[in-house]
Parts: sequence; C-alpha cells; structure tokens
Amino acid sequence: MSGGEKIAKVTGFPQEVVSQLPRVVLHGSGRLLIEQHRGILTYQKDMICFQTVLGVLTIRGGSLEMVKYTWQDAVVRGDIRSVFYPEKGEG
Amino acid sequence: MRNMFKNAFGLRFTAEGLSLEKLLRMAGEKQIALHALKREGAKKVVGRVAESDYPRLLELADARGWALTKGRTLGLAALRDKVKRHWGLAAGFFALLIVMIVALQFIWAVDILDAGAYEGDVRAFLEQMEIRPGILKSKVDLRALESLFEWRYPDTAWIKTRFSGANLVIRVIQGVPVPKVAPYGSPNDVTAKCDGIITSIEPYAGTPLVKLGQLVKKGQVLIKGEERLGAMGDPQAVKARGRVMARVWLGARVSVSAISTLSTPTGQVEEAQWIQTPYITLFKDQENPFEHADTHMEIYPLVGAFFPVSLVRAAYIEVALEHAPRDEAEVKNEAGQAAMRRLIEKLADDDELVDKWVDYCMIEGKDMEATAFAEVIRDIAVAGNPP
Repeated sequence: MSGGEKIAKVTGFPQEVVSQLPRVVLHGSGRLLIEQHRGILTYQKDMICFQTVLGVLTIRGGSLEMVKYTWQDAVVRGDIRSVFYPEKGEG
Repeated sequence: MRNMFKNAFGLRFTAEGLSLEKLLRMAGEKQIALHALKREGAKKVVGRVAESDYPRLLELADARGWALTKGRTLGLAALRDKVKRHWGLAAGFFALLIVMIVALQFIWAVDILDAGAYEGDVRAFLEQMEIRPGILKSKVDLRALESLFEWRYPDTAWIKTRFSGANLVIRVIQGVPVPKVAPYGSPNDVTAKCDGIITSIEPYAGTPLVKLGQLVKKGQVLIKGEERLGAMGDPQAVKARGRVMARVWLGARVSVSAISTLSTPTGQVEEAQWIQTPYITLFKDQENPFEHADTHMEIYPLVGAFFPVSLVRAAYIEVALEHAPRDEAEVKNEAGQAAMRRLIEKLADDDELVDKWVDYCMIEGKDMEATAFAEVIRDIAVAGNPP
C-alpha cells in the first residue's frame, strides 16, 4: 500500500486528492477526461499515451483530438476504443 | 474568470517537427494551456493557444528546433484585429452609437392615446407647457405632468405618462359613468313573501342582495332584477327569478272558554204562533217573555211553491242558567288541538316542518288561549312586491 493510499484510508479523503493517482473519466466512447497526468508521451490520430504514476495510460481509437491540454488535465475527443494501463511487468 | 478572459483572446498555431509530444509536454510544464489540438500528419500538429501564452510557446519551440507558425487570431482578438483593419467602419459605428445615445435623451414625438375629445386640448396644454419634440427628456417631470393633467381633466379616471424610446406617451383613461340602475323594489325583483332567516339562495336570473343567515322582512328585495354582462359591463334589467329558502315561524291562536253553562227548565212555558212569509211576519201575538229560555218551534207549510207561507208555532220554555268551571286538562287539550288544526291549515304542501309546539295561557280564569307554533323551511321568494 502506497503512502497516499494509507493517508486516504486513515483520513477518509478520496484517494485522488491525497495521492497523485490519475483520475480518468470516460463519457461514452467519445470523450475522455484525464486529471493528474504527468505529461503526454505519444500523440497520434489512433493513439494517445499519457505518463502517470501508475505507468503509461494508453488511449486507442480513431480521429483522436485533444480538446484541451494543460499541466493539470487533458480532454481527448474522438472514437475511443480502449483505455488501458500496461500489465504488471510490462514496459 | 481570468483564464476565461485570457482564452477569449486566442490564436491558432501550427507546430512542425519530430517528437511534437515533447513540445506539448514542455508547454504543459510551463503552464501553457493548449486547446483543439489536432494531429495533421506525422510531423504536424495544429492547435489554439492564448495570445498572451504564444511568445512563451514560441520560445520553447525555437529553443528545441520545432517550427511554430502563427495562424489567424480567434475570438475577441479576431474582433480587435478586424477593428484595427477597418478602423473607419468602427469609428463610424461608435459615432452612430453615441449619436443614438444622445438622440435618446430628447423627445422626438408625442403620442396621445385614448384621449378622445381631450386630445386637442392635451396637445394645446403641452404646447403651453413648452413640451414639444426636441426638448430634453430630463426637463419633463412625468409625475408633475400627470398631476397637472388630472387636475385639468377631473372627469377622467386617470392619466399615465411615460417615455417609450424617443417618444413621450400620454395615455388618458376615460372615466366610466355610474350606470343607471333600476330603483329598489321594482316589479322585476324577487321579494320576500314573509319574514324569515335565509337558509339557501338559488338565483336563476338577477343579482342576489341577501346572504345566508340573514334575517329578512316581508317585502324585502331578495334578488335584484339586474345583471352585469362581464366584470365591467353595464347593468342590464332582467326579470329576476330564483328560489330562496328560509326558516319561517308560523302561529295560530285559539281561545276556548274554561266555564261550562248548564240550563235547567223552571216549569214556565209560553206559546205563540204566527204566519211567516219570506218578506213579512203576520199575526205574531207574543215575543219571548223570558230572559233565558229554550225555544221549541214547529213550522207548517200552508201555500205556494213560488210564495211560500208557513204557520209557525213556538214554545218558550224558561230555563235557569248555572255556570261551573270545566276540567282544566280537558279545556287545555281542546284548545291545543283546535290551535294545531288551525296551524295545519296555514302550512303549504312543500313546507319542510322543523319543529312545532303549543303555548297555553289562561285569561282571567275564564278563557284558555292556546297558540300553536311551527318552524318550517319554505321558499319565500315571490316575484314583484308581495301581496
């Protein structure tokens, strides 16, 4: 258990507040919000990758655009097919 | 809010080169917000950035060898650039705006509404007050003007003044004269045929003037023979009709003697006889000689069907009278029953009987007076004046 998780458990605060865990919200399959990322790694029309504390978050799909990109959050729009983290031991 | 204002002044950019993700990441680290990013090829990204952030983004790109091209401005920045390019047009627009604002400070027309016969006088009065097109609105005190008009035209209900754009609007609301109403108690009304307390009112035509629980007197108007057509309509004469139920009290009084009289023959008898015709009496030899007597008469027809003539024989039997008080309970019962019979004669078929009772009164030990009362609910409405 990480330090952030321990604090969240003790204090009762949401984990994403006390830790650096990313928060990913997918609206249907057309819009995705990611908060607390650590920068963009890849930006192609069919794939966007963000660095997070949990590893690389990969978004796959088609005609992917970034409605917004800041140091805090990003909003991705397009035909989103999959969102995943690397498997343990991968990358 | 600050970010919203900042983003309102935006511009498009095109970044070209390898590893453009790194440029985006570095922009994020420098807290430069990027919007509407779109990949347009392996080495090209287009997007939008706040105008104030563009120099920092350009600095980043130049430092690492990416080519950053400035596109057209967006939002308020585009408007500003347009104004800069067409400054003459913009100046004209602002000048027009100022002219309009200034023009709206003046009255350019006077509209007088619904004034009817007063319209000419209102215009003359305004002229006299020097309120005419071209005058500054601030020189016209609307409240004072309304007050002056109301003093000038007391027959009007009220006068309303206001500004509508560059117009001064004066609306005169004409007074409505008091309608002529039929006098109280006209033949069209429904009146009370007796006294009572109202229990229900069902007006079929006309206007009710009484309410539930009200005590009404005989002849009082219950439903007035007029109606208004609409809330503000003039009263119209109608033949009032309706059903007005009321609690009514009826009474019937009977007096019965409490003394019985017995007659006893004394033994003295006098006889008399005479001829009786329809018009005259002939040969009557004697009248009743006694103060108190029982009379026994025998009549014998003599002649004629068209002119009857009879012989009458009478026997006067002297009697002595003896007065004795009757049994009180018997007298009371007799008087009460008689009073109740008389009361029943006064009830109508459709009366709803609520209660009935009898009061008794002995008068000077000689007469027993019984008064029967009944409380009924009946329709007391009668068209016109009660009989």
